Amino acid sequence: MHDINLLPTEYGRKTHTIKSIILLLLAIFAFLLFVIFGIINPIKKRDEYRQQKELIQQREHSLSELEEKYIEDQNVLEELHERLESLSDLKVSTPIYWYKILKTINRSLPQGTSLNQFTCDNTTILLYGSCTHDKLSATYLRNLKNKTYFSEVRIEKLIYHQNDKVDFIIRCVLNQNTMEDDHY
Amino acid sequence: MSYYKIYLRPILNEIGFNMRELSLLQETITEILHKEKELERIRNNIVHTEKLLNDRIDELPDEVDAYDLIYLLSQAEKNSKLMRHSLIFLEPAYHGDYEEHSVRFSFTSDYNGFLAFLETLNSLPNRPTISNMQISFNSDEIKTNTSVEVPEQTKQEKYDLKVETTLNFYVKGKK
Repeated sequence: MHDINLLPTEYGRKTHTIKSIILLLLAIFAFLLFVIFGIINPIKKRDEYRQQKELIQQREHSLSELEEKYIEDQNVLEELHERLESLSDLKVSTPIYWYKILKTINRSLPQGTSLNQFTCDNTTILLYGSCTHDKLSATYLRNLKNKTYFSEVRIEKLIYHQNDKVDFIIRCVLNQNTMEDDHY
Repeated sequence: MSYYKIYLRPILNEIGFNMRELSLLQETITEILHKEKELERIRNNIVHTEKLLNDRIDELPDEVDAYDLIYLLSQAEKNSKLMRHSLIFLEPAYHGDYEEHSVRFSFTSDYNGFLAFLETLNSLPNRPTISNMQISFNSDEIKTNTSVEVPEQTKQEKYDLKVETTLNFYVKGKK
């Protein structure tokens, strides 16, 4: 059997508790949202930017220090490279390099041409020779020019003798790129 | 309203101010990062170059004197048929990491003998470098108008080369 309340609704028992609980929860929720997004978040964000700024400002101060270190290290590196370069000179102008140069000079000689003297400092070779015709000295020049060992080859002097013999002086500038040679 | 005025607005103002400053500092940050990368690259390069340098220095002998040079040259002369004229010991040159001990060597040889000498010099453990070479060719051979490299034995013997050259030997520098 069911109980029926015949009283008008305004006299009926009010469901205050559930409503007020819901309202309270909503209020608490809204308050929490406000605290989180209205109070904590802005402070967090502000502190974050503040920290970032301070960090960068600190690093900005270290930039000049960084630049000093950079210049210092660059100088050290340059000095090391210079030392390494100077040690590389020990691999330049080796006996085998001169072996190849002499072979090249000799093999480039056309028939009817001979050498009297060969002098060289560390960059230039002077070849003193004789031939039966000046065209032969020109051929010799061409032959030498076609070799990679020399960056420049030119005839310095031709002396014509009465018996058709021609003396020549040829200057060959050594190609620095081929001077370091360990291969044989 | 008072919440906004008293609390939020100053915070937002500060955030805005900091953001503007940060964007201005962005260039500095990029520069710093770039410099840091460069510095790291240079430091790696220094380590690598130092290693290379030490390796090269380690390859050099600790010391060499006239005794060693005479011994080394006599080793090189064995198969080269050289007729020695003089050996002048020049002042050593100091280059920091290494020392250069030079000798001015004067001798006579035929073409093939001289090439053999160069080959042997190249195979020495303490390989020298060569500078300031002067070669005079025997005038008898000029009259024959042939190349220096002559296959016949008779012509080879005729064709003497008078050679004067500087041989540079290297040792570790004394720090």
